[in-house]
Amino acid sequence: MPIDLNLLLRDTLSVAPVLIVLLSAIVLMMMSASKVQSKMLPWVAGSGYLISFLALTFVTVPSASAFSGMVNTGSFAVVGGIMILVLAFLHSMISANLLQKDGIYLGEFYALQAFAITGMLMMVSANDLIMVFIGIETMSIPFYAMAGLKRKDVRSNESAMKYFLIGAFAAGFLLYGIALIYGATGTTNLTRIADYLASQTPGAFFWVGIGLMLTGFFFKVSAVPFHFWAPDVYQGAPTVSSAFLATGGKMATFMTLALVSMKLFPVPSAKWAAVVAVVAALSMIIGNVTALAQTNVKRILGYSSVAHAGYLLLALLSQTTDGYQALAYYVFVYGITTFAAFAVVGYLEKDGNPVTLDSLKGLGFSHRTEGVILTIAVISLMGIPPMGGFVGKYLVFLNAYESGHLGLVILGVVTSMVSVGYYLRIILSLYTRPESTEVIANPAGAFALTGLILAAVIILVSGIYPPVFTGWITSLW
Amino acid sequence: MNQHIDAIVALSAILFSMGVLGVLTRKNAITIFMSVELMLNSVNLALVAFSRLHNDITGQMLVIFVMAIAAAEVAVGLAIVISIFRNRQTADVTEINLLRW
Repeated sequence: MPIDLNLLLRDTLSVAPVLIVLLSAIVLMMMSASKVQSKMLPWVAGSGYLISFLALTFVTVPSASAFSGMVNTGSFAVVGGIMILVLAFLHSMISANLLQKDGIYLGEFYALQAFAITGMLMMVSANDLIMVFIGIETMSIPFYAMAGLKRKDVRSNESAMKYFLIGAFAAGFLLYGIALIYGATGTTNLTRIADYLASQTPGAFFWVGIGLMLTGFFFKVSAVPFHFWAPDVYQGAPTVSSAFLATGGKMATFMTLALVSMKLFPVPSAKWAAVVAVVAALSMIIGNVTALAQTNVKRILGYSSVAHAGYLLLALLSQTTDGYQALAYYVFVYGITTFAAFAVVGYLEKDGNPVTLDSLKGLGFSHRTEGVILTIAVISLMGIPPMGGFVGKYLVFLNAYESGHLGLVILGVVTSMVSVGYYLRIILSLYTRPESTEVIANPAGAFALTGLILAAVIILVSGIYPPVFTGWITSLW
Repeated sequence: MNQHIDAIVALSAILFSMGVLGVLTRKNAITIFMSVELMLNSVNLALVAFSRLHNDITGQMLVIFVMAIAAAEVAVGLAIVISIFRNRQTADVTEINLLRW
């Protein structure tokens, strides 16, 4: 069969945003290997994300699918891609400063991050389980290396090894699930699987496959009972990496889970909802209750990410467009918020010592801007107005209530109240007068501070005037 | 060939379970990692069998990708194990337990 050059060109153009990030990843890798001015690396990375963002926003794609139905372009891919690229851009603003503060002089960080983002953009534009799998692995493999970036630090080593072993284990489940779904339906294309489901009743094989695939996803989004790795990894990894692992990974994986659910089950499936409901309930309870006992701030954020995985799963219960849009809004705000929280914690770290509730004491006075940003982020994580986290929780709970999951909504509200217990301790520590007045050297640089303030602005705007973001999501959907 | 599909899928399920058991019970990071590879390869076996059953090339295409990804995982995974071994002189996961609770 001759190759249709026009078709090839059209398909390549429709995935241009992914290719731009991939190209910048390769350029970054070459630059870090050839020891050119390492100060240029964050600029190259940031401009790569910016160009990809512009391509995603302003270039209208010629067709809705490309590469013989493997890739979806437009709508969902744009929403997912934009939120990932916004986060990546903000992260590239703070990363140079934080890496230097952590004593990591490895330019590879930017290349690894750009490769991970390539994988994320592939995931959210997937229309085939093969693409989903390759995207998740392209994201995860750089993540393992990013967690172990501090080669001499045993905690970083340990975090990388746990992440790697659990991640590879989860990939095995995901893949076996995909194989069984392929065996039952004869295709890996999401649209064609949905066609199959519409015409015939699937057997046990298919449901075992879905169950195994969901297990893989639950591992990746750190939902209970597959959550035990998350606090360890986020605590042990260098904070500059945690700020991206915990946010970008969650955004991309949840958007992909929503994509798979949306494509496979245009007609809501009670079996799918039942599994998701149980895992959501467990995540909300165990995540929030365990976080109460923590003193390390990064670990608290790790357990908070488990708890938020529970809230996010609530949005998948109704399997309606409203539900998926609520999930997109929540995961975007959650990602930006957790990014801001981790980044500030990175700045408040001193000589690589962990930030505990004790060591935070008084830092709200000595580091005013950072303190205010951490406070804003933590209030948003609690889900209290006027921050974006409140609107996200409201949309998700409303959607779950409308689809008849009143019990889970009540559980969600109760566990949110429990979560105030540990989040409030962070703010209280920040604004408690310390015994000794030690001021930490190396406050955030001006450029990094701009990135943090931008994140805080997004959190505030999404809370005070949510139509900016809800309108953006619905108009692109 | 097609009448043996059941047997091949059963074999792949057994191999997959062996891999899962290995991950859950072994203590050496390298052995755990080998068990993960066993899981991935059992999937490959199932994929090839299903590909034959449906007379469709997609399954075999996925097998190639799985192999490539498994190779990439080996590269990163062994590097991580080496870096932890240099610092701790052990690859026993029960002794690598600084991060708990």
